[in-house]
Amino acid sequence: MQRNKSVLAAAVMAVITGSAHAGDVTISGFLTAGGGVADDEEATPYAGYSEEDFTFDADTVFGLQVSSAVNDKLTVTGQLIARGTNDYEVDAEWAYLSYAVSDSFTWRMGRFRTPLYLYSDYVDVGYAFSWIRAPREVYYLPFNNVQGMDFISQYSLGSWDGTVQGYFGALTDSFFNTDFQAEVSTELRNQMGLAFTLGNDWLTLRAAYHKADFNLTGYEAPLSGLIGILSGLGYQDNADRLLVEDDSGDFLSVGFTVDTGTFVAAGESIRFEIDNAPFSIDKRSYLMLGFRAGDFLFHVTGSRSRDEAADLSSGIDPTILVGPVPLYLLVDGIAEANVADNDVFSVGVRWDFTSSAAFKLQVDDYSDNTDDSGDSDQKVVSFAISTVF
Amino acid sequence: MNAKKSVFAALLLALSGGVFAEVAVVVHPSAGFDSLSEDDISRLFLGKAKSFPNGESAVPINQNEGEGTRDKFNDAVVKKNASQLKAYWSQLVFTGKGTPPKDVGGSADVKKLVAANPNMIGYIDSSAVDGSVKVVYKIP
Repeated sequence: MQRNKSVLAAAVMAVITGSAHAGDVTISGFLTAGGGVADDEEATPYAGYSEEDFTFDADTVFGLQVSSAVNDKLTVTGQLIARGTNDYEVDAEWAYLSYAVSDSFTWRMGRFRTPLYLYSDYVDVGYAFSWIRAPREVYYLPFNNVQGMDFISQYSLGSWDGTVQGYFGALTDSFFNTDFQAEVSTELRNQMGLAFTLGNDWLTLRAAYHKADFNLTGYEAPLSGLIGILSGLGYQDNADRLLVEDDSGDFLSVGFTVDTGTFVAAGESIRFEIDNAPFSIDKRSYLMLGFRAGDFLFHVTGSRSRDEAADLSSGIDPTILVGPVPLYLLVDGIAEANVADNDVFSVGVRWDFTSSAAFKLQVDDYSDNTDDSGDSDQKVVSFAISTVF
Repeated sequence: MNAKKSVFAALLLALSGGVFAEVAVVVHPSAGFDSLSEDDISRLFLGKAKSFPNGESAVPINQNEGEGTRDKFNDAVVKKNASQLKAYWSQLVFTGKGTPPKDVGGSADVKKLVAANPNMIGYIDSSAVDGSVKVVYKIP
C-alpha cells in the first residue's frame, strides 16, 4: 500500500511539473457502476456476486487517467483507479513515462498493465467492450500490472496494421488465493513477455507469451506436515513441488476479435503453468458471438476452465501409507483441489443509450463440473452503466 | 413543365442540397499531393497512420459531435458509427496508445485551421470549399 502511495505521489508530481512546462494535460476518465444478484447463496459465488439480494460493488470501478506531454517526445501518464472490490481505495495502477522514439516506436518505463490478454489494456474500461466484465474464467489472474519497462512498435503490412509489445519487469504484491483460501505473498522476478497483434478493419489477431520466476508464500502452512513427511522419507523433490520458490512459470495466450459493424465475435485461449508447483496447469478459453442492431448489441458467450492437476506424486512408493491413506493420494489430493473445471454460459445486451454511455444487462450461468451434485452451480444477473469522459 | 412539377423539383433540389451534401476532405493548399485514398484517410483518422503517404506528419481534426458532416464522414470513410468510434478510441486512450483527433467545431472552423496549418487534414461540407484549402477526396 505504502509503495503504491509513493508511486502515486511521484506520478502526480511529475504531472504537475510536466504541465508547468508543456501546458498540455489530458484528463480522461471512465466509470462503470453496476449491481447484481446471485441465484443461490449456498452455491459458489460468481464474479463477486454471492448474495440473493442486490449488491453493487463487484463491477463498480472508477478510473482517472492524467497524461501530460513534457515535451514532443516525452509523456507522463498516471492512472488512478478505485474499485468496489477494494473498498473504493484509490490506487495508482499505472504510472509511467513514455518516450516516442518515432511515430511508430515508443519506450515506456514505470508501472503499467501487463499485456496478458487481448482486453488487458482496457479491461477496466467497460465502455470499450460488450460484456459487463471480461469473461472471468479466462480473466482470472490477479497480477495484471508490472513495474519495469517496455516498448510498443507499430507496423503496417498493406491494409493490415499491427503492434509488437515487449516488456521486462518485476512484481511484488499479495493476492488472496481462493484455492488455498490464503493471502499469498507474490514475487515475480525476471518477468518478461512479447505480445503481437495484427488486424484489418474487421479482424484482429493476437498472440502473447510471458514468463517469470515465481516466489509464492503464505499458502503453505497447512501443507507443512506433509512437506515434513515427504522430506523425512527422502522425497525431497516431491516436497519441493509443494512450494513455489524460484519456480519458472509461463503464460501463453492466443485470441481474435471480429467486428463487421453488424456481426461481432471474440475468442481467447490461454495456458498458464508454474513448473514444480502445487498449482494446476490452467487451460481456459471463451468464445463470444454477437450482433448489432442500431444502438443495441446482443451477445452470447461460452467460457470454460479445463485445468489439469499438477503432477506432485510421481516417484512416491505407492505402498507407503500415512495412517490408512496412501501417501501419494494425499499429495494428489492437493493437486486436484485447485483444479478448476467449469463452464459458464452468458447472454447479454449492451445499449448505447446516449453518447459516451452504455447500459448493459447480463445473465451468467456457471456450472462446476467437479461437483456432480450441482450444488455449486450459480446464476448471476447483473447490470451496469459504463461511461467514458 | 407545369408549376406543380417545378415546385417539386425545387424541393427535391433543396433537400438534396441540405441532407445529401457532399463532404470534401481538405488539406493546406501547399500540400505536396493532390489526392488521398479512402484507406489513407481512414487510417489517419483512426490513428493507425501518423503521416501522409509522402512522409509529412499529419494532424487530423474532427468536426464536433452532432455535426451531420462528421456523421457522414465517419460512416463513409471510417466506417464506424458514433458509439463504435467512441468505443474504439476508449480502447486506445486508456492504453496511452493513441488520442482521437480534436473536435474543433463546424465546417468553417475546420477550413480556417486547415488553411492556416500545412500539416492538418479535415473534412468540410463541399459548399464551404474555397481557394484557402485543397480538396484531396470527395464523399458523394
